[in-house]
Amino acid sequence: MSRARVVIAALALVAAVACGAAAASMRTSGRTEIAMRGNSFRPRRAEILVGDTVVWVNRDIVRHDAVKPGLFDSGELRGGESFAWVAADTGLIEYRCTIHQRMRGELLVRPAK
Amino acid sequence: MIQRLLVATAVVAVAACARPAAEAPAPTISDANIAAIVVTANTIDIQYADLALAKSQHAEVRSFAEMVKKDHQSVNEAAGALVTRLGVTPEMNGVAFDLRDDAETKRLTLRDLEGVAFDSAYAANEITYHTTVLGAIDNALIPSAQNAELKALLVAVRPAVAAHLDHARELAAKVARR
Ligand SMILES: [Cu+2]
Repeated sequence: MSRARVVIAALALVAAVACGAAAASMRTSGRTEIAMRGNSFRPRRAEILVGDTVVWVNRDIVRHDAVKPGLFDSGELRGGESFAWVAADTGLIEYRCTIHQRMRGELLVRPAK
Repeated sequence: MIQRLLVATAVVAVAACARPAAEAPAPTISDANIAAIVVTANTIDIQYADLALAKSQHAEVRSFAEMVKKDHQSVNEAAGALVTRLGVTPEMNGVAFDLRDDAETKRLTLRDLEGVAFDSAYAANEITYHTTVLGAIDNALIPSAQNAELKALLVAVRPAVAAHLDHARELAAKVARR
């Protein structure tokens, strides 16, 4: 890698870290919304912090749920209904809609600052 | 039934292309007809699902049937709420009657089958049925809908029907592999 490339890469890294820090410090809500639309979770993968609230909102006509056994179970949500859950521990959570086999989502829960 | 739907589709398509031609008839599918077709189409697939739940021991067939049933019930609820709000009274027409009558015949055929024969016939029928319904939504119902909310409902229903079709194809492959 040329020196210029290294410098650019380093600058990009600094910028990314700075933006990340700024974004983190500007977080006030601690709330992440996940839409159920077109038979998928959107976003399919979300990164959150311990203590954050995740809200699933069904934007489809058909019913969906969001289930991780032992952690959360939204029950069947009709179009327009929502379900909220607060993340208590760190880890990667793979959850799904029990009605639609291929409808899957992930939450990556990181330690709170 | 498929023929009649194709004819209806063709009529709509021709009417759309040849608007200025004097003899072109207005599209014959009204919003009241669309409401009846939607409810009929949903009810038919719920009945197929009920049959599968009564007859099949195949876990995948059963979970497919449960999903399809739940989804079509949701759509019927949404459609019912919308037509009530709009003050539209669903009006049966040729397409809806044909869908209903053909489904009745198909159910009688399925009822006589057992085991793998039933499972594969059910899966094959779900492919055919959802293909037909998807074609009707795209080529006849959405283009004909006059009310914007009814059109929006049809557009919102489409992904569920498309998902059922994909899933039915997978199901058919799994049943055949057994
Ligand atoms: Cu779902």
